[in-house]
Amino acid sequence: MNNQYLLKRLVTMGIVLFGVSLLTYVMIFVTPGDPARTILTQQMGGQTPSQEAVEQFRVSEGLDDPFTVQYVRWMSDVLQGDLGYSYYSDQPVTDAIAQRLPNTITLAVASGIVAIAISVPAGIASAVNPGSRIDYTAQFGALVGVSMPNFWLGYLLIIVCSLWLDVFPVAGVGGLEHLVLPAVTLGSGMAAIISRLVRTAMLDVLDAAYIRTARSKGLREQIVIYKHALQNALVPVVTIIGLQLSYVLNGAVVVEVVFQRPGLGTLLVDAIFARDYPIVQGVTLLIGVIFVLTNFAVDLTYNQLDPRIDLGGELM
Amino acid sequence: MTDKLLRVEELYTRFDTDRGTVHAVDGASFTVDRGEIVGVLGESGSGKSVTARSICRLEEPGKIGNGTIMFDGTDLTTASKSTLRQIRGNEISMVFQDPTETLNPVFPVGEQIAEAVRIHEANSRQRLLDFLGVPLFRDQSAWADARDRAVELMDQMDIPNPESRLSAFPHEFSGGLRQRAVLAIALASDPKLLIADEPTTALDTTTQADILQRLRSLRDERDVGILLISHDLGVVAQTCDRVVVLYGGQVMEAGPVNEVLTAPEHPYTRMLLECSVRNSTPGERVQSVSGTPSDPIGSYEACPFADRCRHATTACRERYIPTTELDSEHRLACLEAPLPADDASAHRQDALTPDGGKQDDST
Repeated sequence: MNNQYLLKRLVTMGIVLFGVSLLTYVMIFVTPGDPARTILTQQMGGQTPSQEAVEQFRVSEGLDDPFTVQYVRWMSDVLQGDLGYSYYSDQPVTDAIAQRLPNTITLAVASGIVAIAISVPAGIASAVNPGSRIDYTAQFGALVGVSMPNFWLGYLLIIVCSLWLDVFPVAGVGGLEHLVLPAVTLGSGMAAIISRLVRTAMLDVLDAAYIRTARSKGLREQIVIYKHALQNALVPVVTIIGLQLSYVLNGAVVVEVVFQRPGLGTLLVDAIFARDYPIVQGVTLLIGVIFVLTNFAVDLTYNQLDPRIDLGGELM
Repeated sequence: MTDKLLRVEELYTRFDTDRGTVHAVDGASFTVDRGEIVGVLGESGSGKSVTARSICRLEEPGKIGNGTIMFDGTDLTTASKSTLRQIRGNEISMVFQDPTETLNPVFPVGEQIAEAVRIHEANSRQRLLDFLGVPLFRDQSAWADARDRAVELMDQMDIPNPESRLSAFPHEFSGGLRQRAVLAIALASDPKLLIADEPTTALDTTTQADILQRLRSLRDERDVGILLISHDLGVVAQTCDRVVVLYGGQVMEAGPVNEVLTAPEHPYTRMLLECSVRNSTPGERVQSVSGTPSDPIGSYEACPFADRCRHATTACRERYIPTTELDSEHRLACLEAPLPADDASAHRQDALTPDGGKQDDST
């Protein structure tokens, strides 16, 4: 890795993020519904606002400016760290996000841990004994995991673990006990996909000549598998884990609603229903940034996992 | 006779496939003694590599059906997994064909050699976290010693600047250097038997000569027994003391190299010699073998070579071919032997001397 590579990547990331921001803004702009009218109706407690008031609101909020003007104004604010104010609570969007983000990050990390803790051993066990009972069980489990919708699994876990067994709290945030069910709900779907990938990648690698070499050296099978084979199988797995982040953020929307967790997901859903555009824009942009940064981080690990992967930037 | 280092007797290794059972090794017998290089010669698909892997018990997904592999007093066909693991690498080392593939691409070469050193340390259990290099669990001083030993081994293999290459990755090595590194791994434990499966096939001629020279000096200086698997007559002739010609998983002919390769008695050996480019005079059309090795599905009740043999009779296709001993060293499995000398013409006789080899052609 070198600075040239980093620079190249940063430039590309800038372009991608610009695209994300533009798309976010366009989508909100073309969405049917007049925010001025909606907000005023709300503020006046359901009464239809006068045309004059609507016009006035548009001017004061800059809603009558051409698209480019609005976008540039928004973007220059964003670059200064100002995502605007919620239409309803007058709370700065950055504050609203800052309140919710930690909960979502905790959920994402916890479900990632659950996913990896289930999928990697399961995938390896499958690959080491292909066609065995363990393999079929793991593959069946993966199929169930993939097919089961998050909201359904979430409610199922609430019924079984919270209502019947009374082991975990039904909803809310708090200590670790509040995190277990949402993390399992979100993590199991991810685990299903990752375990299948680990299985395929490991099957591929276990046939390689260097695995035979490792065995012929007299290495214990455990070391052959967890050291020599696993690290070679990790590149595609890490890629998928990185991409699965989008799944976590999507899933978080559903899971946070099911478990009543205040997070980015619930914030986004509420804002969409209320047409609170500054919040929607802010959250969407943030998710885009997180996604781009994660993929960047994943790319940086490639070279660590497999030194043959040259991160480019200059000719060898 | 009983003190041979390796004695493979009536070995059968089969692969159960969807199309039926493939008998890759079909009753092969041969021996390797200390301080000798035995070549296993044959075309692709003749069962050479499976034979090699069976000896290390790395035959999976194949299965050893029958036979014994006596190594230094232990029958490897019945040995327990832990015994096998101790023998593997410790007393029997393997070098495989393509050094591009046989070194793990994601670990430094030095670490892979050091690993081999640590495996063979007396009274050290292989702990996963230690080998994974997890901080706190890694035995730093043992690994430092192992790395020193790795530098020594690399130096013995004439890998230039071993200290600085310790942390280099396999893809940063040339083909010849990689194969030397593989040899360093194989020699980390001072093995009694080295099984080299086409060790030079993927290398250019100069590097090939270098690696073969190293094998010969291992035999001479450390008294290592070497089983050299090759499809290359030249390699076998240059390097080996004795040769086993394999076809369809069966031993066609076996004996001292200077007998078998200068006065072959089996039609298959003769055919291989005729095809050798090195044995052709300039301008002469190089012979090629007609047909390809038959897919050995179902065990042979006949000579596996019969379909391609120009001497084959009905008897060859109908019954099991017994092995006849020409003398105590030289044996072959052919009903028609001794063959008329029709296809061993004079110019082939002298051309049989391998290039650069040590054998003289006065025989």
